[in-house]
Amino acid sequence: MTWPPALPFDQALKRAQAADQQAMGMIYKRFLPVVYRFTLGRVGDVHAAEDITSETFFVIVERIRETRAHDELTFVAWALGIARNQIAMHFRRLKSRPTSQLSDENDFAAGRLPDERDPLDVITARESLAEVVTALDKLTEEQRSVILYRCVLGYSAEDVGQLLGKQAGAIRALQFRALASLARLLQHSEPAPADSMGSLARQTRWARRTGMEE
Amino acid sequence: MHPEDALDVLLTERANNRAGAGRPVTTSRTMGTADETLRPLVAVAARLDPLADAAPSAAFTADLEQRLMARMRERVAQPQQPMRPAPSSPAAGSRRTPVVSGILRGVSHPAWAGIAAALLLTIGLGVFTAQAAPGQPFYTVRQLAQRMAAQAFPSPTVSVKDALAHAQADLSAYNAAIARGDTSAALGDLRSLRADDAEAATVAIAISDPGARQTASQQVTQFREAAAVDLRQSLAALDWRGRAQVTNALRAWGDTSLVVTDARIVSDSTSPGQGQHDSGKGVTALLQVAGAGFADGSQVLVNGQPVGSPLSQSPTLIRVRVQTGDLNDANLVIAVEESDGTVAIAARIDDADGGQPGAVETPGSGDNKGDQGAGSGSSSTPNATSSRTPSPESTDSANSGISH
Repeated sequence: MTWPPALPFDQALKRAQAADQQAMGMIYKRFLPVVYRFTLGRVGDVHAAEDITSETFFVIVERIRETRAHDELTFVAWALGIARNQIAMHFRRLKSRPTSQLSDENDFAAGRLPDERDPLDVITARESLAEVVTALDKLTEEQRSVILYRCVLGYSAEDVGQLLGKQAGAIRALQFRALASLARLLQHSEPAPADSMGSLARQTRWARRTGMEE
Repeated sequence: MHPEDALDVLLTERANNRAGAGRPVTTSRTMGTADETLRPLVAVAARLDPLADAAPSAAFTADLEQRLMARMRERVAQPQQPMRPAPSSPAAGSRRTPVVSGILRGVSHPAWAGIAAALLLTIGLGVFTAQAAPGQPFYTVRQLAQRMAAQAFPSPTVSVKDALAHAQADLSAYNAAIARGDTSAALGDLRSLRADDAEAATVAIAISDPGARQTASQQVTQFREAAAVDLRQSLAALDWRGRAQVTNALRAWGDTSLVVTDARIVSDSTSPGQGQHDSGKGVTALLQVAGAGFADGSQVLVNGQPVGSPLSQSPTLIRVRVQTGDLNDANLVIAVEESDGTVAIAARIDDADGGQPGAVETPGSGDNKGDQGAGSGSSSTPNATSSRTPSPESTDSANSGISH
């Protein structure tokens, strides 16, 4: 989570607030994956995730002058707050539509990924991601946030504590309980290897590269 | 070490290894002799790797960046527009009284001056037109003033109330027009009613505070329930096209499920004898109407005229035999009318069955589809092989933006 050293984050933010396109471009490139992964982890549909990410960044551009963020972490908290609102609106829109339209749109659960990777990778990822996102959805909001911030976005327990306004120790405890709950929820659909799910294909390909293939 | 802390150490180590090695890390390598009870939890964390590795497509990334930069350019360009007035000359300033100068100094920034002007205009219009009722000359000005006020002080809750008040006024105007038999005016009021209702619903759903959102949504729902009663009562006073517009509103509010997705003129292969000439009444065809919400007593209308009892009917499909002469109209409109008066117009009409134009026209070419053939019947085929889409007004596709 380090900012490119060429321009400290606070300076980039100030310049972006002064409508400097280059600085805004840097912020966009830095935080696009963060917003996208957070969104994908919540909606489980790549197209919806892209739409919401897009809407989130337009709001960021509109309101960047208003943010009181002073460092990368507070900016992430602000940006993900916007993303969370957009996600809530997305779910409200889905709820207000007939169910016949839902099936087409929420096709991530049905296993669609816009991917040109190894088909084996894609198939494995489809199954696992659908299960994981469904299970994540069943956690409490706090547990889900901790898991997303810690395991998906890669922030430390201390950072997550700052993001959620809790002590790092509380975050570790929440993380433990969240992963335990997630393990229980995934228990019935567990065929993945003990270590890294989705990585059957990845491991196979890695084995090929390193000459370890049987 | 507490298990929570041990788990955190393992996860951190694992994340560092993933970032460093760029390849999968096996739990056993990472965990070493760590507590076996933590292994399942680390394995579960590993199942999140695809999410942690997910990235939007390059095309999406580039496209969004381009659009964001364009948006930024727009925002930069706006303040540069020649909005700023030229500085006042000292002579002009000297003519002002001290009090006026003081006030003007306070609003000397162009933005503040604009806001102040809009505020004064809004208040003035609001006071002047406060008593204007629907139908009176200043009612439109009153609506405009309220909308300006809503924009100047954008409280979503107030905006919902305003939009619903306008919708209620539209409904009153609609009922009055129905009562005096002016259906044209009534349908105009219906359009305004739907626009105001849609505005209320759109603003309500975007309210961030859950309690306020729920209250606003309930207000919208209550209005719709009351309005639906009035609209249903008015059905008897309208012709079939008017009833179709009312039905569109009712469907948008969830008050009816009646909809016709398409009508298809199919070959009459199941009844060869009747697929030709029907006892001196002319050539017949089988018309198949698909949709939803068809109930017992549904009646197919061709250009507003009922075409007889259905041959078969389900909640989603009606088959009826029609005279092909009835279908020979460039502006053909096929609809379904329910016994409660609601009407839905087919969004699409297919004139041929599986690319077999004129399938029911001319007898005698042999097979089942083959009532087809060249000959005199072809002249009565209504726009064979083409599809027709009724005008947006007739199907009222504007439904789509309204949630309920």
